[in-house]
Amino acid sequence: MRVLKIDNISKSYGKNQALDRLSLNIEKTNIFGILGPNGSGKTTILAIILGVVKQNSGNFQWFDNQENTQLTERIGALLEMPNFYPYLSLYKNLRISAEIKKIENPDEEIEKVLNEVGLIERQYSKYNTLSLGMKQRLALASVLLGNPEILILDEPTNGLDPKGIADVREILIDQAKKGKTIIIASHILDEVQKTCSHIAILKKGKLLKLGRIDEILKSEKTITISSDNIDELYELIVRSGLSKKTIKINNELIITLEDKIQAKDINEFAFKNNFILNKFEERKISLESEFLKIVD
Amino acid sequence: MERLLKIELLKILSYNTFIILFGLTIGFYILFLLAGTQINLNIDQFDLKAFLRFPTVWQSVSYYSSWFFPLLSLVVILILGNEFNFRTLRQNIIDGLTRTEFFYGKLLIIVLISLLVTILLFVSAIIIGISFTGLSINFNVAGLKYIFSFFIQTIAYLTFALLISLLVKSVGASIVVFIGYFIFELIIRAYLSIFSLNFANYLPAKVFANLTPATSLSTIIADENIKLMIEKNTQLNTELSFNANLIVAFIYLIIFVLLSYQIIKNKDL
Repeated sequence: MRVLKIDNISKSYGKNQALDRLSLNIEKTNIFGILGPNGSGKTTILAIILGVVKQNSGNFQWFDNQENTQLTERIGALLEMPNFYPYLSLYKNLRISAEIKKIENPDEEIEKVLNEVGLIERQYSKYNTLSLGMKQRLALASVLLGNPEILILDEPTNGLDPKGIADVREILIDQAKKGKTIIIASHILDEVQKTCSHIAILKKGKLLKLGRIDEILKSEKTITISSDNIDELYELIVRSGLSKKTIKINNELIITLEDKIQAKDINEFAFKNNFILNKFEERKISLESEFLKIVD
Repeated sequence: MERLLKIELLKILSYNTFIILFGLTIGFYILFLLAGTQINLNIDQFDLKAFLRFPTVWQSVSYYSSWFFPLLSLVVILILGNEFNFRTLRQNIIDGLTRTEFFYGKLLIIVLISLLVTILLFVSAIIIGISFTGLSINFNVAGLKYIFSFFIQTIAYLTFALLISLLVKSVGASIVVFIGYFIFELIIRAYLSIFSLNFANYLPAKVFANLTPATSLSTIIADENIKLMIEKNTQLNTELSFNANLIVAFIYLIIFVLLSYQIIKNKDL
């Protein structure tokens, strides 16, 4: 079931084109990562679907709801840095959010989410006395307030220490298990790889790649080989048409295979041409390497 | 409406700067009012206490109040500027408040503040009037229109502050622009008066100020002949009538509200 349809959205700030005819769909229960270098339009698209920035053209639709109305109880979101009243306590800040979200038992709900993010002991502390990590946790508590179906998080692990990052990951995976749809924009590719089921990669407001993360990661196979006469083997592989790209580093070749070519085909090819390989290794592709390849 | 008011009160009732600014304004207002009623000058042909008797007291206290409560415009600038500064306006919208609800919330606070100071003015005028006229006299309500026009004046100043705050965003710059506008208009009015242009009477600050006109000096003249002479000579044909001025003020108020609403409705946050 589709929860969000983004259709041809463009947005510019003066001469700067932040989004260029972006279209994508997000299905229920996806953990959807939006990736991209700085200025790629990640935050802008989140700001548009949350109603704080107006698009120049195109449309978006939540839950196939024509008017995008009555979404309050269904979406919890954090955009960029946590935004709270610094002179108010954590409790009062969340109380304001609870009133906005029309939550029926606000005190009960506030206690529940503060417990969930480990800030219950600080509920009467003023917001401006919190560390950056604690502020991020409070923002997460605010997102979880009212048990929304969809969580939207922009850089949710910003400012957190490794333990904090692991905690956030755990909370998100736990929420996903409860059937929530989660949309995350992040720079931390390792986190996205560990958490997300689907990704969209943006660059300069354009969608470069979209799909299931496991399919994107296995879409290109790469192997590393070495042999005694590496220069000759390099020339042969390049001319063979078996590889999309071959890079020689020291005494090794890193080969990105053509779509229909298997790793064993390279082994056979080398053998037929009288090369004895003393290293043959299939490379595990990280999201980081794939991301860099796509955006470069 | 109750929900929006609750949200706004949650935001401001624990905000020390708001409490201090509001408290100081009210405190100094009462202090200066009490001090003013104690002035006792015995000058022949002048009856200073006439300002403080019914029905003049309504106008006198309204005029006096109009010097104090525009200060509360700074409170509005501060409240709205903070929403931009802390980016809580954006967060409120993300949490599910509509832009229209956010705007209504701010309008409610403006009306509430205006209502509170108008009630204070009303109570002050009654106490002073009864003190100087005596309980035996049936207090005259003819001047009550000044209480109403003071209410409109306060809302007008505060909505003007709201509009400037929305346009400028930063608290400091908004205060400079707000005060700067009144100085600018003063210069423009002085310039227009050289050419005797009535247009000056329609400028916002002038219209708002005229909602609570100063009590005529003739009030304190004991001699009826001199009083009549002063009244005749001080009548300015160029000034708008009270009712016409009230209508123009209403128009400005509506323009400020509509412009502010359009800005909130269409601005990227």
